[in-house]
Amino acid sequence: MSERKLSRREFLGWAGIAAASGVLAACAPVTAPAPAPAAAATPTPAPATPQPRKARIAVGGWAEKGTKELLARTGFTEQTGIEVEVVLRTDTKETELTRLASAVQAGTSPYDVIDFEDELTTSFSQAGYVLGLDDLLPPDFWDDFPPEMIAYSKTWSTYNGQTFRVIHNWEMPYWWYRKDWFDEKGVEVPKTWDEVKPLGQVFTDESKGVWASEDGLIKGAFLNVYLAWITLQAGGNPFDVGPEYRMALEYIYDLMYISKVLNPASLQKDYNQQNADYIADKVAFMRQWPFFGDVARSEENKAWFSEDKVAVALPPVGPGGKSGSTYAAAWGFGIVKTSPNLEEAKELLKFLVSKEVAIEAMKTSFWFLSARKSVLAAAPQDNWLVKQMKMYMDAGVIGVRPFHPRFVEALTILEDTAAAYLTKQIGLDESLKQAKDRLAQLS
Amino acid sequence: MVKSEVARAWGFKGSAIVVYLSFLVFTLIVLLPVYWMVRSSLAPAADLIKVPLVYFPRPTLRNFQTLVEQVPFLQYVRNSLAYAVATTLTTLVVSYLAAYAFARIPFPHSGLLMWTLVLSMALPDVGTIVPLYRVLKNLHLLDTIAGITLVLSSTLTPFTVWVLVSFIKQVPYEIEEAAIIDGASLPRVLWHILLPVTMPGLVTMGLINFINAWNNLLYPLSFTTSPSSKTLSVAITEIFAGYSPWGKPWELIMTVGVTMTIPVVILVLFSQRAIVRGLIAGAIK
Repeated sequence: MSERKLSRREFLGWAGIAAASGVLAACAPVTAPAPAPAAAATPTPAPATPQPRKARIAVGGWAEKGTKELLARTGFTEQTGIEVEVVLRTDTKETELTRLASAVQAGTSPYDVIDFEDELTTSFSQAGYVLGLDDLLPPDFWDDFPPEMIAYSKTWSTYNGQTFRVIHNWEMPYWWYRKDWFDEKGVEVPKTWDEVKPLGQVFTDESKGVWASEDGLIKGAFLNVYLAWITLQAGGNPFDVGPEYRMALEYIYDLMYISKVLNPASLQKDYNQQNADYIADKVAFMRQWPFFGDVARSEENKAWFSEDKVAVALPPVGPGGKSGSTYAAAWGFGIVKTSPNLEEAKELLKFLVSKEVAIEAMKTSFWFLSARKSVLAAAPQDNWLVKQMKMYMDAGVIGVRPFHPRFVEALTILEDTAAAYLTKQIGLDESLKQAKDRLAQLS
Repeated sequence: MVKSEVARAWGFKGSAIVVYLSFLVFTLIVLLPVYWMVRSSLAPAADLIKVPLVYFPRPTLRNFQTLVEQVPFLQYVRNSLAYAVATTLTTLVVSYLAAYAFARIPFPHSGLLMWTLVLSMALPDVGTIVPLYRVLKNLHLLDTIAGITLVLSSTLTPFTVWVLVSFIKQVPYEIEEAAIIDGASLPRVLWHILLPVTMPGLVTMGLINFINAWNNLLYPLSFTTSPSSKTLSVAITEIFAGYSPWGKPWELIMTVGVTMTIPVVILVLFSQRAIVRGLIAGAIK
């Protein structure tokens, strides 16, 4: 008996049919199964099994443990019946934007609630990726927030009058200094911009690689922090490219090349290098985020650490006055508009931002520390970070972080043009002109 | 006369020395980032940014330990392996059959179909993300290894088909004809006759596809969320410095980099001969 062989043409035909079926199946929308016709054989329908309620929250790796502990400690699932899965979001805004943009445009989301930063809030709210939260918040909700946090939130967490993020972490760059060195040299902590300049002569010794001050100013959002910080002290917003920004650039240039206060190599350094130089006894004072306090107190630096090496003072006041001596940045919770578990997400968010849970969150992890009135009042008053935050709040030195509606693109422009000036590649006028022209093209 | 021969010999030696020195310099330049990556993965964080630079720090496996504690590292390694192996196999099987059809079976508009396939390579991956997201959602394949495997296999298939067609075309059809006359069926011809002679091409494409899948970030980043399906490339975007988002843990990033490099290096070393044969086969008629 002869075995029938598969011809090439048949092979091609079958392969084509199989491939086409696969593609068509993949593209077919998922529809609910058609209701079965009433049959005499099945008179009593089985009771519907309730779907388990669930929600996913995406947080940064540093907040994963604290968030899980908080949810367990406060009994969210027991109270609501909603199972919460804590997943990690990526470390950078670019990758998170890539992840969420495609999901939202496809009408879904990989998570329901997200813990996100200033830059992403701007992008997400303007793109319509996140849900307005005002209806979820009780009328007296903002009474628990100080004016500085409200002003900040209105600038960075709202768009078209709607709130898209409720902040839980609010932290500012502090002015760290070597109290032991200042005491030894018999110099006072500078109170104004002008008092900073002579400190170059006091502390800077280029032959030993020691500078009065240093910062992490490498391009890629580091330089922008310093530009915003100094321009705010000058009384303006760098994105306006106004006289205050000119003054700020002139001041930074002076600190680097005339007064010899600020190490020009800062332009090639990030925060890790800045911290390492400070701990290597190469820096007398610096602007830095509070995480430096954790780094300095870590096990690794135990031999070096002492409180008078990481003292904190108020930043020197610039021409803009005391109220804009520094600014805060924040992280907060929001809900993805296309969340597959929208109702559960709303319940979770309302729970997380409530006064009682916000206090518990701070007790679980300082990632949830902010100047929210109830939180700051309940925080351990002898803790170094809490002391610093209270000192800055009481002194009224926290302004609103300079904002631009297209923040990420705008900061790149500022960094490019400012770095060119600060590395002496172009003059100040040219730098300002380029910044102004390129920013004008953005709007 | 003797003088000129000596001069010629020295001249030859001189030019050889220059060539070898150039190779040496080039090799050092190429290997320097690799050395720096390995060194950074084995060094404590503080040694990374010390001035003067620490070229040979005291090695420690502490970074690997931190990674295992910080992210589900071993799970991510398993996921990456599953993703890369499954994508490679799927792509090779599908592409090999399609390439055979294009190379051997005349059918209407085969040329046009082939060019359409090749042109699809020009589509930027990121431009297809949204429709792919919908497809995977409808298939309930979001956040699964199967889903990202399906997507990347479909992306890698056109190029693989294109290359394999030329490999198959180089095999004389008479070999297959002889097998058919002897009574071999089509699967038997493919498996026993064609596969052994096109093996170098398959190995080469397999390796290229494996590396592509192993290093791929876009699809796992876009379509996976939970540890059960995330890959090592996504892990790089998740590792963190400490208790806040400030600062970059370069030592941990480099450690993931080293982990991602090892399988590729092993694969290349073991399949070096097949790759060379594959590349030469593509160059000589």
